[in-house]
Amino acid sequence: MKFSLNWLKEYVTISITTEELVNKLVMAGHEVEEIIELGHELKNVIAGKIISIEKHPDADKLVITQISDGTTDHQIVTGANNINVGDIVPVAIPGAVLHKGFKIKASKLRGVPSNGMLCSETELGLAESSNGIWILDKETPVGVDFIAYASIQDTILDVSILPNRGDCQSVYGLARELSVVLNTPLKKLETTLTLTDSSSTLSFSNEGKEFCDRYTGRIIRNIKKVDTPLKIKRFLQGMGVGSINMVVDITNYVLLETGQPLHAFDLSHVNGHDVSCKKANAKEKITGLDSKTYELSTEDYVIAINGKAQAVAGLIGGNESSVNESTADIFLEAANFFPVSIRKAQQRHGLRTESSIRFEKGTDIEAVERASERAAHLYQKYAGAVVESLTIDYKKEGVSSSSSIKFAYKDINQLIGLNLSNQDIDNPLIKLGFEIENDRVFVPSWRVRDCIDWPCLAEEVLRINGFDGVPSVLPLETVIPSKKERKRELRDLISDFMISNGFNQVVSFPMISPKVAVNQDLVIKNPISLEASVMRVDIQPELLRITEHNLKRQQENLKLFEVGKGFSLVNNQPKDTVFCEGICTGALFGKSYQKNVSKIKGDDYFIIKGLLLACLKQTGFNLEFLSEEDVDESELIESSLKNKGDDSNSYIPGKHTYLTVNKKVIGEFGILHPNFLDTYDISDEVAYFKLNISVLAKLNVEVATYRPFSKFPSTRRDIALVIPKSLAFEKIERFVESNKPRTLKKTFIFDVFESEKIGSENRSLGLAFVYQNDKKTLEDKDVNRAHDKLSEKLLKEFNLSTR
Amino acid sequence: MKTQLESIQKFSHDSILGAKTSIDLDLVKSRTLGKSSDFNGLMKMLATIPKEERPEMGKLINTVKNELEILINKKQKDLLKSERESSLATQKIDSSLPGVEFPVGTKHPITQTIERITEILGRIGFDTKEGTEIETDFYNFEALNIKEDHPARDMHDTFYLNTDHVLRTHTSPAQIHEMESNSPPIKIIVPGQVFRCDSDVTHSPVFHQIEGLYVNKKVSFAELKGTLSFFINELFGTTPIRFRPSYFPFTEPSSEIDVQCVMCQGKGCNVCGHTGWLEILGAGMVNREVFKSVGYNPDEVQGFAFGVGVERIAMLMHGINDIRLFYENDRRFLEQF
Repeated sequence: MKFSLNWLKEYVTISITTEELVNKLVMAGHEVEEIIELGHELKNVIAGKIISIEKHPDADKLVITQISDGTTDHQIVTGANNINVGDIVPVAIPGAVLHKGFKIKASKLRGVPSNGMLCSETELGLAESSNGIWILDKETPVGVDFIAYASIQDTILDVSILPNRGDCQSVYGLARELSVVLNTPLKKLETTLTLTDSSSTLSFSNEGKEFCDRYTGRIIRNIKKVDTPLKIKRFLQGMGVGSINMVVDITNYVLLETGQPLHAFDLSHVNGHDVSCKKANAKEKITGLDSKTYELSTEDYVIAINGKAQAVAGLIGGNESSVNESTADIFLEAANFFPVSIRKAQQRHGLRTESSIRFEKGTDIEAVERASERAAHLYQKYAGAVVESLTIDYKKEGVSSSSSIKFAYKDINQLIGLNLSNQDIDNPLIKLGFEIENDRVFVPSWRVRDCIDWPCLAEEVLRINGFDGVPSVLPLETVIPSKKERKRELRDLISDFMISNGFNQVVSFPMISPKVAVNQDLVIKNPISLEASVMRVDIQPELLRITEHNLKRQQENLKLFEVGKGFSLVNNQPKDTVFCEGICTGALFGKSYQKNVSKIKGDDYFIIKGLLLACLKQTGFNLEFLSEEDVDESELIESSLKNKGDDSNSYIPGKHTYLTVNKKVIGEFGILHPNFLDTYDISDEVAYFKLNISVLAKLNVEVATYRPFSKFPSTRRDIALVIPKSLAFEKIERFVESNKPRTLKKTFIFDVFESEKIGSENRSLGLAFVYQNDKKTLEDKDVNRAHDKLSEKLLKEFNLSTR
Repeated sequence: MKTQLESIQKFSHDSILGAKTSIDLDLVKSRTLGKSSDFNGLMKMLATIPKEERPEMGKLINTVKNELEILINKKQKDLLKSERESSLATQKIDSSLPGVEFPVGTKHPITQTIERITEILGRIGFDTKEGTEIETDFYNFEALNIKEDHPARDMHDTFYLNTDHVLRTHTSPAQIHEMESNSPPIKIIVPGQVFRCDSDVTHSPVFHQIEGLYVNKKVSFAELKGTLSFFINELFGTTPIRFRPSYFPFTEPSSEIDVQCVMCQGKGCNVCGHTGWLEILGAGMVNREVFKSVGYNPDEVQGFAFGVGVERIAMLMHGINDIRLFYENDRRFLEQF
C-alpha cells in the first residue's frame, strides 16, 4: 500500500531522513518495497493572476497574457484557450524546472517576448494528461510558492502490509505504529463538529447477524459545491486515488486516513425508507459504481433500501443510489462487516475494492463512529455542511471491541530466550496500546483479530525491542539423525554414477502438455498454460523436450539424466514414484583425435546396456536382462513401466530390453522409435533408459561374502564360431553355462564381425574360454580335453562350424 | 703360464672396457669366458704343469676369471642403462597435446545447492526427510493454521488438481506429516519442489524449498537465531545478517532473515533492490495452533521452523540472473557447474 509521507507527518513528527525511516519501518515488520519521490525536481512555480489576454499579432493560435505575481507583471505567450482574465493559474517563471527536468527560460514566440509558461497539471507531474491550463481556486494567494503551497513535493512509500496487520492499512494506522517506533506522540484526528439533531428517523434491521456487527448512518445536508481542497487532492493522488468531487473525495480521504470504509448515498434515495443489512435475493442484479452489473446470490450480503439492494455490503456501492454532481444531501454509512464473508464475496465477484481489502483483514469496530465524525467534520469545515447526529446507530448485542489474553512473563522470556524485566516487556506493549492487569493483557480494538494467543506478545516485544538483543544459541540436546532413507541413498548413488560417466543432470517440471501425456488422471484445474497442465507419470516427456531443446542448439552427443518423480492415481489416491531416466545421443566418449577411444563410438544400445550393468553392480545389485517377449504386462504395471491408457511402444521392436533384479522388473532401456520421436521433432537416434528407484529401494542387497580365488595360473582357449544371425547369443551362453566343465572359470566374447565371406545370414563370434584349477597348475592336456569336449557339444547342439 | 694369464687378463680387461654396445659386450663375454675362450685353454693347460703348482695356479686363474666376470656384469648394467636412455630420448612425444577425453558429467546446480545446505544442517543434527508434492488442503493449509478464508492464502497462488488435492505451495506440510508420525524431539529438514501459479524472471511456477523443523520440550527463539546464524555463516562465510519481524500463520513470533547483499557488500545494487540486504529465509516459533492440529499439547512442546528458497541461494552463489535457466537445462548452462 502506498503512503504519502506528507500525510503521515500530519499525525506524527518525523525528524529523521527517509532512509532512516524506511529502515525503522522494515525492522518493525513493514517492508518498504519502493520509495517514490514526487515533484522533487520542480522549481520556481508560483500562483499568478491573469490580468489581461490579447491576441498575438502573428499567430492565430497564440495569445499574449500579462500575469501578476502580486508585485510585478510577467508577459507570457501561450497557446491555451481555457483561460480568462482574473483566473489564478500556476506559472513557471524563467529559471523554473518542471516535470521530467523541463527547463523554462525567457524566449520569443513568433517575435513576441515570453517570460515563462502557464502550467497544466501534466507539466507539474500531477496527471498523465490534462485539458488545458490548471485553473486554481480563487482563494489561492497570488505570488505564493505554488510547489510548497500545493504540497506537490512528497515522498511516497510503498509499504507491504503483512496479512495480519489490517490495522496498518491506513495513514493513521501506520502513523500510530510509527509513533511507537519513533517514540513520538500521535496527534489526534480532528473531529470537532457542530451537530444538529437528527431530522428524520430511519429504521435499520440487521438480518445478517453473523455478518454485521455495527452499522451507523448519518445525514449530512447542504454540502456546498466547492472544489476539493488542494491538499486533500494531493494526498489522494499521492496514494493513487483520483479526485472526483468533494462528496466522494472526502469519503475516500477518510477511508485512506482511518482504514474505515465509508459509503455516501444520495439522501433522496434513503430518506423516509427502511434500511437493512440482509442477504440478497437469488439472481438479484445490481449495477455498481463501476457501472458493471453484478448478479447476486443468497450468499451475498447487501445494504437494502425498502428491500432493494443498493450496495453489495463492504464491496461496492450501487449506481442508482450513489451521489452525483448535484448531490448536496447525503446519507453517510460507516459499518463493520465480517472479514471472511467479505473475502468470499471478493472471490465470487472477482472484485477487490479499497473498501473490501480493508474489511477482509478486519477493521477496528471503534473506528466506525470516529470515521463518520471525521468525514462529517471535513464536510462542515470545507463545505459548510449541516451535520446531524447519527440517525442509525446499531451495535450488535454482545459485540465487544476488546479481548484479553492470559500470559506469564516467564513464558515470554523463555520463548524468546531472554531474561527481560517485567517493565521491559510491559513498555513496548503499553506503547502499542495494550493494557496490562496482573496476568492479563487487554488487546487494543485494532489488534483483536491478530493477537489471540500469548506468543503474539513475545512477537510484539521482539518487534519493538528488536532482535539484536536476542542471543544466538545452538540447541544443546543431541538428536541423532537416522540413516539416510534407502530411496534417497539409491538416487544419490545412481546419480553419482551417471555423473561420473559423463551424464549431465537435469531438473524439470513435473507438469507436462496433454499432447505428450499418456493419461489425464491428474490434471491441474488452473494451470498457467496448457503446456504444463497434466502431472507426468514419468520423466520421459520432459527429458525428451530438453533433448530437443539442446539438439536444436547444436548440442550433440548428449548424455542427460534426471532423478525425479512420476505421479499416478491409485485407488483415487495420488501416488508418486521415483525414477532415474536418461538419454544418450551420439558417441558416449565424444569425438577424440585418439583413435582407440573414438572406436567405442557406435552402438548406443550396447553402451547403455553396459552402463546400466555397471551402475547396478556398483550400487550392489546383480542386474539381469529380460527380453520384450518374456515380460508380463501386469509386471510392467506393477513396476510403473506401463500406465493405464498407454498402448504405445516408444521403443524400436527388438532394440528394447527390460531390466530385472531378483526376478523383479526394475526398469527398461532401448533405442527410441523414430515415429515416437516425431512428436518431439528429434531426428537423431536416441538411446533411453529408465530405472524405477522406488521399486529398487524395496529390494534387499546382501552383504558380500568372501570367496577364495585360485592362486594358480589360468589358461585360455579361443573358438571362432560362425553362427546364423537368428541365433541369439544368450542361447549359446546358457548352453555353455549348463554344460561347463568344473575348470571353466569365465567365458567372454573377444570379437564379433559380419562379412560376405561367411555369408550375409551369418556372423562370426570369437569366444574365449578361461580355464583354471583352484588346487594346481592346469596341464595343457587337461585343458584340451575339457575344452574339446565342450566345443564339440556346443557345435553339435547348434549345428555350427568354426572358422 | 703366469705370463700367459697376465696377457689374457690384460687383453680381456681392455676388451670389456672398450665394448661400445651391449651386443659387443656379449661377444667379448663369450670370447673371454665361453667354451672356446682362452681361459678354457688355460684350464686345459693346467694338466700339463707340475702337480704341486696346480692348486695355486688354478686358484689364480679362478680369481682372475671372477674379477672379469664382475667387470662384465658391471659394464653390462652401465651399457643397458645408457642404451635405454638414448632409446627413450628418441621416443619423445608432444606432451602439450590434449589428454584423452574422459566423459565429464555435471550435477545440476539445484542439486548441488540442496546438498550443500543439507550437509551444513546435517552437521548440527538435522535429519533429511522427504515430503510429497501432491497434498491435501488440510496438510498444505488447515493444519498450518491457514484456514479456508485466511488472507494469507493470497500469498500462495495455489495450483488445484482435478482430485481434491493441491500441489504443495511450500514444504511446510512435511512438518505436519513428521509430527503426526513421530513424537518429539524432532529435528528435520525436508528439501523438495513446490508450486505456485506465478512466472517471471524471479518467479518460477516450480521451485525448491528446504523446510526445517525442530521440536522439543523447551525451544527458544535464541536457538532459532543460533541455528540460522550458524547455517548462514557456513553457507556464505562470515557476513552480516539481520532478523526482522514478519508474519506466517504457522509461526509466532515470525521473522525473515536477510544477509548483506553478496553482490554489493551492502552498498545497494540491482540484485538487492538497493536495500543492501537479501532476504533468504523465513522462520519463526511454531504456532501453538499447529501443535494442536497434530495432537500435541502446546503447553508441553515448543519448536521452531524455517524455510529456505533453494533457487535464490543458487542464484546468489553462482551469479545466475534468470530463474528459468535452471529448468531450460541447456547443456551450455549445465556444464558450468
